[in-house]
Formats: sequence, C-alpha cells, structure tokens
Amino acid sequence: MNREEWQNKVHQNHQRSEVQRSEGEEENHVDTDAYFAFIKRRDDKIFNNVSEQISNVSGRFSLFKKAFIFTFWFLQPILYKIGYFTRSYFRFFLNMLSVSFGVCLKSVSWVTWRRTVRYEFKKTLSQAVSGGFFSTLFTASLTGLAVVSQAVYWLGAAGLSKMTGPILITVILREAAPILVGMILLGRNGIVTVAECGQLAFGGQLKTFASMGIDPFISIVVPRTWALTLGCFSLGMIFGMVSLFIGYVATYVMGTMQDSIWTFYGQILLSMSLWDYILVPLKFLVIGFSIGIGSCVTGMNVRANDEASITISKGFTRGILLIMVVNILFTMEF
Amino acid sequence: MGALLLELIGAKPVFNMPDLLPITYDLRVNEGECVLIESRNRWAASGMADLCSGIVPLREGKVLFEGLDWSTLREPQNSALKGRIGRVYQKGGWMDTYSVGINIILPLLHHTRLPIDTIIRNANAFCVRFGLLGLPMDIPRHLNDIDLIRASFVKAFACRPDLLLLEYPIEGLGQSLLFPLMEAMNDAQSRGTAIICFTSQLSLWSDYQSNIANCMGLEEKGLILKR
Repeated sequence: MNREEWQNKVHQNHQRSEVQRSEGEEENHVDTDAYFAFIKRRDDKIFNNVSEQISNVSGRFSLFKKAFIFTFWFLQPILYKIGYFTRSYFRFFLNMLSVSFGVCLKSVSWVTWRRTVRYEFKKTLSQAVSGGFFSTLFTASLTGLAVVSQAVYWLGAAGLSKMTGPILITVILREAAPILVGMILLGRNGIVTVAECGQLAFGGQLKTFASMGIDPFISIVVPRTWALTLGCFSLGMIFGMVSLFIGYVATYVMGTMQDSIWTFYGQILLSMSLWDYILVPLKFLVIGFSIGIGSCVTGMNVRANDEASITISKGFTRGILLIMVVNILFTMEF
Repeated sequence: MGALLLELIGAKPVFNMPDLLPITYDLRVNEGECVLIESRNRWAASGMADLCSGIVPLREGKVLFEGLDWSTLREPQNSALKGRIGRVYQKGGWMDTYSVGINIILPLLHHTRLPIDTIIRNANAFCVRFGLLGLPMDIPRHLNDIDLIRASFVKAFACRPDLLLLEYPIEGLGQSLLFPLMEAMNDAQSRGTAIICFTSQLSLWSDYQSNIANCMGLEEKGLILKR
C-alpha cells in the first residue's frame, strides 16, 4: 500500500467518524473551506502519527507490534461506535447529575426567584398537591385497609402486638409510601412536565424564551423541580397519616384494636428512631427532586425525529427507574 | 436624529444557521428610527431578527445593542438587555403552557419590578387599542388567528421596548388593525423606540412612508440599501 492509498484510506475512515465532525465544530471551523482544510490537516496529522509510530517500532516482535498498531488504528472507528453506544446509555444519568447541580446552584441566588419563576413554582406546586391529593387519599386508604389492618390483626393473633409500630414504619412509611406517592406524582405531574417540556423544545418555544431574555432553565426547570420536590413531601406526609388512620379505623371496627387513636399514633411515633425522622422525609424530597429533574431532562432533550408517544413512555420508564433507584439507595442506608 | 441604538458591524453568522446566509451584514439603526427590510424569504427575515436580538452566534464582526456587544455580555446582563426588545414573530412566539394574557405580561414580569397592577393596566390599554376586550385568558391554540395577531402586537408594544422587531406585521392585515398598528408605531417612535420592520413588499408601507428612515432589502449579498 503506497502513501497515497494510505492517505485515501485514512480519509475514508475518518470521514465516517462523527466524533471528528464534532471536534471540528468545537474548534469553530464552520466555514466549508475552513472545515475541509481542517479535516485534511487532521487526517495528515493522524497518518503521520501512525506512520511515525510504526517506523519507531524496533527490537523483538516488531512485526507483531507494527501489526497491532495498524490493527488498532484500523479498528478505531469501530471502537468509536462501541464507545458511542456505551456512553449513550449513561447520557441520561450524566445529564441528571449536571442538571441537579445546576438547579441547586441557581436556586441559592435570589436573582433566580423572579416573579415568573415564583409563578411557575406556585402553579406546579398547586397542580402537584391539589391534583394528586385525592389519588393519594384513595391509595393511602386502600393501603391502610390492606396493610395496616392485616398487620395489626396478624401481629395481635401471633402475640406480637408490640411489633406493630416498627413493622408499620418499615412497611408503610419507609417502603410503600415513597414508591406509591412517587408513582402518583410521576403519573399526574412528571408526565405532564415531559409532554410540556417536549412541546417547548419541539415547537421552538425554547428559542422564543431565549429571544425574550428568559432562561428556560431558570423559568421552567428550577421551579418545577422544587415544586415537585415539595409536592412529593406534602403528599408523602398525607399518605402516611391517612393510611395509618384508615388502618386504625378498620382494625377498631373489626375489634382487633382496643386502644385509642392517640395511643396508636403514639406507639408508631415512639417506635421511630432519629434516623427515621430524618431519612423518611428526605426520601420523599429526593424522589420528588429526581422526578422533577428526570422529567425536565427527558422533555427538553427531545430530538427532531422523536414521537410524542415515545418521549412520554420514555419519561414514564425513566421516572419509575429513578423512584426505584432512590428507594433502594435509601433502603441500603437504613 | 437620536443616538445609535443597534449596529451590525460586518456581522457574519456561523455556517450552521439554517435560516440566515453566512455572509456579512451591516446595519445602523438610531433611536426613534424605523427601518423597513424587504425580504421574500421569511425564514431569512426571522434569522435576521434573531441576529439583531443577539441569539445568533457570529463567526466575524459584532452586533452592538445600546453600545453593548451581544457576544461579550454575560448573564444576567445579556438577558436583561434582551428584555428591552419587543418582537412580533411571524410564527410561534407563544408558550402553550401559559395563557395568552400571561404570555403578554411575561417579559415585564420577568425583567421589571413594576407592580403587577400597573403591568396589567398597561397591557389592557394596549389590548383595547388593538381591538381586544382585555387580556385573553385562553391558551394560544384556543385563540383565533386574528385575535392572536392582535395579542402579538400587544405583547410587543406593552413592554415599551427600546427596539421593536416586527416580522411581516401587516401582510394580510385588514384596515381595522392597520391603523392602530401604525398609530402605535408612530407613538413608539416618538418615544425613541427604534423599529425594524420586515415586509414582503415595500409598497405595502406607503401610508407610513414619512416615518421610515431607510428601506433595505435582505438579499443574497446581504442588506442592500434601497431607498
């Protein structure tokens, strides 16, 4: 293979490679002439590097070493593809981390909390709490009937009434409530956020925001994330109170519970450790925060060829995943 | 003649802008001036308006607004300066997540500390001027086209901007809306607001000719002075 063939090969190989196009854009080679000149210079440089490396190999097994360098160079585009797909799976996670950091950073500045941002925060919080209130009430009642009454009944039958408090804390407040409340919040508000952010991105309305001097990150992502965080906490507290109350009423009516409601609540509170008082509310807050960030990221990263139905289902799947991951992380901490 | 408000000095947008040709643009607009730009290519007109608003990255040259270079301005100064521009978009420009009323007062709520009553009173006055009963509380897609055009005029004028970018405002517009628009433009100009108006045909503006400082054409070679 002569030098010209080698150069042609290099050129074909690397024209296929998307990463090099992005490199060109990073260096602001936006003019076509400048861009092609940049590609030519870069290909020459790569060719020179490879030929230099090969010519520098000497000693034992030099032929194998040369073959290895050549094979590695030849496989670079394939390795790039593998790397690209591997990275794409972590892209959402990395986006989540960076956006979370951005939200926390922007939130501490009083300049962020302008009237439009406060309006968006109040609107989303109102939708989250009032919209999810009856769903939470209903789900909490069913949980109370199913879990609390059964737990009280069977623990009483087994002579383990003293264990009622710790078991209910573990089953309802630590495990069931965050997942169920998170799912209610995701269904009622998270998906709406995905759809609305997707519409903003897809319809070019983010550009309109930018031309008005309104940063969509500050006016959409920051308030919605904090509103869903607070909304999740509020609904979680409602869920805990209602499920325990309905459970008490059910067992009282069945005759398995003789204590007053205050004694029952007292037993529950006494069986909670200091960590329970910190980590249970924190779990609700983190789940709400994750749903807020995840929904905004999924909605705003919509691509031109994405369909609305796919974006929404993607938002739902990611939301569920986030709820489970947060739940498991906190369970490990307990 | 008022002070220089907007200046495009050899501004060359980056190559990957789909709407605007990557050629050099030069333009000077003073306070209280109205510049008419004729362009048959509506996408290019939107791109030009974006360039004036400082949201198009440049390869060469600079765009100065109120003496400040868009490319060197940092946040929140950049956003604050964008808040001094009122714009009538030829398409879109409405956030479907808010009602039209909120859309109208959104820039003022965001960029100023004016009491909300004052903002609403001012916006309502413009609504009446352009033939609306008050601030529309429907979401944009529920409003009919003509009312949406009226609302877009209210949105552009209500923030009392320093620069108005009007994209094809009178194309297909009836007489009932033409005169309120020209009256509002005249008032704005007398307050010192500069206006850049995009049009498909210069002759459509014959009634407003006395207030127009320059007529230009947006062509393949850039901005060409026509009159």
